[in-house]
Amino acid sequence: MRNFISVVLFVISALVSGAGKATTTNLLEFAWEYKDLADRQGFLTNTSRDGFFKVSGLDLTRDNACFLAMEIEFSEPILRPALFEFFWATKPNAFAEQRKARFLINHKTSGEPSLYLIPLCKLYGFSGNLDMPLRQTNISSVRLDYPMNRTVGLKFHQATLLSSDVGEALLNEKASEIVLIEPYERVIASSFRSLDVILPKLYFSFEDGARRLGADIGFLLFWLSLILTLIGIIIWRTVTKVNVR
Amino acid sequence: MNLPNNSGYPVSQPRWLTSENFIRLVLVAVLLRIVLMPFFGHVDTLSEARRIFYWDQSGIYFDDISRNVTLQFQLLFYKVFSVFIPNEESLFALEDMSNSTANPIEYFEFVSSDVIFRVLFIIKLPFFVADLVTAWCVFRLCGSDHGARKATLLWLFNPLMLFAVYIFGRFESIPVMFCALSLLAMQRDRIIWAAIFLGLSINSRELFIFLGPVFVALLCAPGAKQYSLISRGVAITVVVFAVAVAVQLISLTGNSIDTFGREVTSIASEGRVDYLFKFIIGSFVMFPMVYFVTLLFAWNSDFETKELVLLTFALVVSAFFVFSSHTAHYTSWFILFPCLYYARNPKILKPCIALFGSWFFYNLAITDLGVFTTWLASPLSIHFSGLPNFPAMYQALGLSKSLDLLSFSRIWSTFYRACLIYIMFQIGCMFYKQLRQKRVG
Repeated sequence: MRNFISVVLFVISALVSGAGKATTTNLLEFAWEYKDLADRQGFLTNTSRDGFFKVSGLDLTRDNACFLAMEIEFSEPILRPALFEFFWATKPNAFAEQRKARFLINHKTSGEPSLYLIPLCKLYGFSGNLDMPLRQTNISSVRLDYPMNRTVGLKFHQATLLSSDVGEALLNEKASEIVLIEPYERVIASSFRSLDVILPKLYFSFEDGARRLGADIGFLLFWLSLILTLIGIIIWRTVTKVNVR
Repeated sequence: MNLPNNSGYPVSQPRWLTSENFIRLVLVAVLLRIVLMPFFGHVDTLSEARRIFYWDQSGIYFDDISRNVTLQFQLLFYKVFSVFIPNEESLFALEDMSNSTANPIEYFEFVSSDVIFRVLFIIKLPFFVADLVTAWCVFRLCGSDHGARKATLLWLFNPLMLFAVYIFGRFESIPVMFCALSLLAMQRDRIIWAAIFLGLSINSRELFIFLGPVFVALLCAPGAKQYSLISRGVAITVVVFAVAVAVQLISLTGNSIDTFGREVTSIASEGRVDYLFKFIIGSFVMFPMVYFVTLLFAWNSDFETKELVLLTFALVVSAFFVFSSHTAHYTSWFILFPCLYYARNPKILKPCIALFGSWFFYNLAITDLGVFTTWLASPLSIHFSGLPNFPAMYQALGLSKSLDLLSFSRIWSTFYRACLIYIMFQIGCMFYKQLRQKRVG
């Protein structure tokens, strides 16, 4: 019953807030505020461990900011994945650790932009769960923090917040051109009591793990063959033992 | 240490433990390890891999803690298997190797690599081999018979070693392997080989340094007269040298500056050593007191050395865990001893199971970031690093209203130490029964 009421409230709130309308918000059209970033030959480069830019003046529902699409060109290839942090703020709530997502980008080539799509709605802290959709107020500003432990130069060809339907349509249409980046977050314990939070979180975790296993086919085949060989030996020993009897 | 057939306990022989079932269970244990190897690891797994990589690339060994042999053992495997790691420099290279301990951000970048599963598998190969060699040692030490099968299975399925090596991703099986090899050599009266393996063990992990003086005391005891003076002298020299290398007396007498211009520290400056002197009852510092009692017992005893070595080693290691603070994976150093005694004393099993349970809940309650949490599954998916840990959930679920977290952890800590003490009591009883049987015989 409680979940049913939650779903009804969620649908009503979504309708009231205008969810379902296909919207895109081009962040490049807004004024960017920088800290410890410098323009180096067209690439926005961090000059300290705390470089970031932020975009204010937004008024977006969670559903209208469900995906972050960024077409980025790196000044040079990065050898290891780089850890970025994405913050969001609402009118009553400024940027804070509990309103933060992290994601890793592994860009091995430079000189050509890549389109990255980050599904922010997967984050509990961003979209909440069915129990508390009404508490989520509109997003007023967002902030992207550069990796703390290295210098990275980025040229933004596109930075757009997409509504859920636009994001999903983009993902379906241009799957081969898009690099889907899984964001992750720290979930506070008081939220982790609800199955609405636990189940999606665990599902995303194992789904991500299964996807990552497929990224190294050579090892996967070796590992599976080892496991199957061992299982085969165990079964073979059991069968031959039964036959002898 | 003459375990077979004179323990004084009736040796039960469950029907299901045939040699065929034993082999099957050993294969299941190997399978379990292979399944776990690619998916888990602590931040320290990266720190350690960096040091191995640096040593491999530059040929300079720089670690200033007494783990020379562990690193060398890992390096041997790394040299063979690193050909299967593509672009290893991007994974392990670090500009400032004087700060080789990884931070969480570096760790997340590391585990996000596309080849992380094969990297973790390769990193854990030396631990896996050492673990299986130890299992073989347990089987041989216990007489390769029915009791030995039980002991080996307890070793292969004990959650402490599975956690330490395959989930936490640390090298704890390597020093334990050398310790087991030393015990095996001792059982076969090869005291020089026993001294060499003990020396390797002492230089693999800090704790094992305490076994050095015990070994020397045993060889100086009246019970060691069965060995020639020369072999005793050589064995003592080997162990004294190994202890000196481990505490870095040698480097302290020469150049005291390391590769990076830092002062070479000794094992005594390690925080973990400091903990040993913090457990005080009244005005008695407990670990040193138990240690000196054990040393005196070893030095003064006229029992056969090979019978005493397992008992005294077990006493020292268990005293360390009873009277010191330590993190979850350290307990894996201890579990070898109850496994060896379990072959002849079935009463060891229940306290061992209680130990595993109390160890689990105690470490859940006191966990720090990434030590005993889903954080360790970050290689599988970084989403796991964001899940709340047990203490946070305990508070969030309101359980602290019934029993606060501090009391909860203290209760499990007490159970944990009680289990250790009871296991030692059982081992002591077994030694006493053996002794009585011999005298009656």
